[in-house]
Amino acid sequence: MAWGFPIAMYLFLAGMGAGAFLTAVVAEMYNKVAFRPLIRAGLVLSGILVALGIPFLIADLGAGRTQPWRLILLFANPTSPMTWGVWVLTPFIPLGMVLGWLEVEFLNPPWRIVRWFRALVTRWRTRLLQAGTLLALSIAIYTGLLLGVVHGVPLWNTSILPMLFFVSALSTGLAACVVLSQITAVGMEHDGVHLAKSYFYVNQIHSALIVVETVFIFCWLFIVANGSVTAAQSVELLLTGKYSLFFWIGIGFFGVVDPLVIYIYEVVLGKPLKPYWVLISDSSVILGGLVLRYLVIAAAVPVILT
Amino acid sequence: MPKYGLVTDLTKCAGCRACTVACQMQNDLQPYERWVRVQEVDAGKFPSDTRRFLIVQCQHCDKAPCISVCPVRANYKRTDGIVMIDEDRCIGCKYCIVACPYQARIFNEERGVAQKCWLCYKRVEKGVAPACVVACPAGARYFGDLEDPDSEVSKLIVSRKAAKLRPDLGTEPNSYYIRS
Repeated sequence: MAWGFPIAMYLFLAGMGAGAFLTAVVAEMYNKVAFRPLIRAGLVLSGILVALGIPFLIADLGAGRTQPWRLILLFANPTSPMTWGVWVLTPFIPLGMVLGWLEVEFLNPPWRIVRWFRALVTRWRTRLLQAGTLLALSIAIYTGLLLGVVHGVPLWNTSILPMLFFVSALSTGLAACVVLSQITAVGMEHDGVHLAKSYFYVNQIHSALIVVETVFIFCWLFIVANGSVTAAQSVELLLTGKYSLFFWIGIGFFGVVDPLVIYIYEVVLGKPLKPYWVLISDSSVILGGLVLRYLVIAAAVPVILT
Repeated sequence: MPKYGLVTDLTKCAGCRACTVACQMQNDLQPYERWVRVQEVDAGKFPSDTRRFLIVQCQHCDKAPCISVCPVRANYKRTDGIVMIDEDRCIGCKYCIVACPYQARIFNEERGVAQKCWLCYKRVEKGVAPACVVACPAGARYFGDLEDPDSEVSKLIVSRKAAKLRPDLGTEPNSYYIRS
């Protein structure tokens, strides 16, 4: 496989950033006041996370890294999923960063132009959120389409892969929002008890997402394993072969079992858990999401030519 | 315009790799860089088992995945059917290398671009067959115009029932293989 960890990292960060944005939008629609810390975290993270993925993408390039002016050509081919990605990432990064900037008190020098710009963005905030929602949905799905159109790799060439990446993006994005809002909660106007209460509901939604993701992973591998010979080889690599440790520990334990057990324990307990539990479950989700992206790329076996 | 393609008679191929090496000499490739690769496949059951060879290089597809996935349009098809890479446009993202179901592409680390068989277009323009065709000691390889019904390759495709590699992938390749 010509692609490796840098591409997996890029797909993971792009998905997580889009997911964080969507988390903020849904939270704002649901309850602007109660989920304030979550909304703030989501908007702050969205543009930054997606932008953090770009260095990984560039690091993997050949002539595009040494002769960066060639990158302007990236907008050129409307049939390439990679070009679609450039189309949606390019406006999303500044849009997410500007909306995130509205949420923080710092980086706000008392200059007239800054005040003017802040007022302008505040006036258009709803429209920007709507546009951002469309872009974030596109990014979350595009990361799956990029691999899904490759019919030389049966593990990828299935319609459930973009859906799996979409759910994984929502889940890791939500987890990133929870982790950041929990860390920054110290010393903010929202007290810990209030935050823990909002997590109580968020965690139940998150457990549903993880269940859906697990069902998708199962269906994906099950159907693919019953397809061609190379497809079955890919599945074997994941379940019992070279990557089985990564699969069962990384995705199975950290991505699914660990967070699910913590969320279910919270429901059984009937009251919000201590903050460090949420940190454990949600950083575990993030790690699981990264391992998922990496394994999808690492376990790709090309078609057999006979 | 002609439409160039290859016909390979696998019943003659002894797996000597002269085509691989001739290509490397012709195109100044490193020993580890192969635009033409010879795959070995074990077939049949004892006592009638055998080893077959399959020569794979760019198939110069009519519906080439490399052309559609390239984000910078560095891949294109010439009017004579040869699929080319514009090395001045390529950014080295490796998407085409991943997307080619024939795994016909390599990544040139030194230049940072994707490379592959270009059907020795400079030789072809002078009326000489590609190096891999000329070098084959078994005479297993044929080069010619697939559009011309009287060309050697067109006649071979009909008389020897030459078939494309994995036509089910929908890439419409222009390389034919004789297997019996």
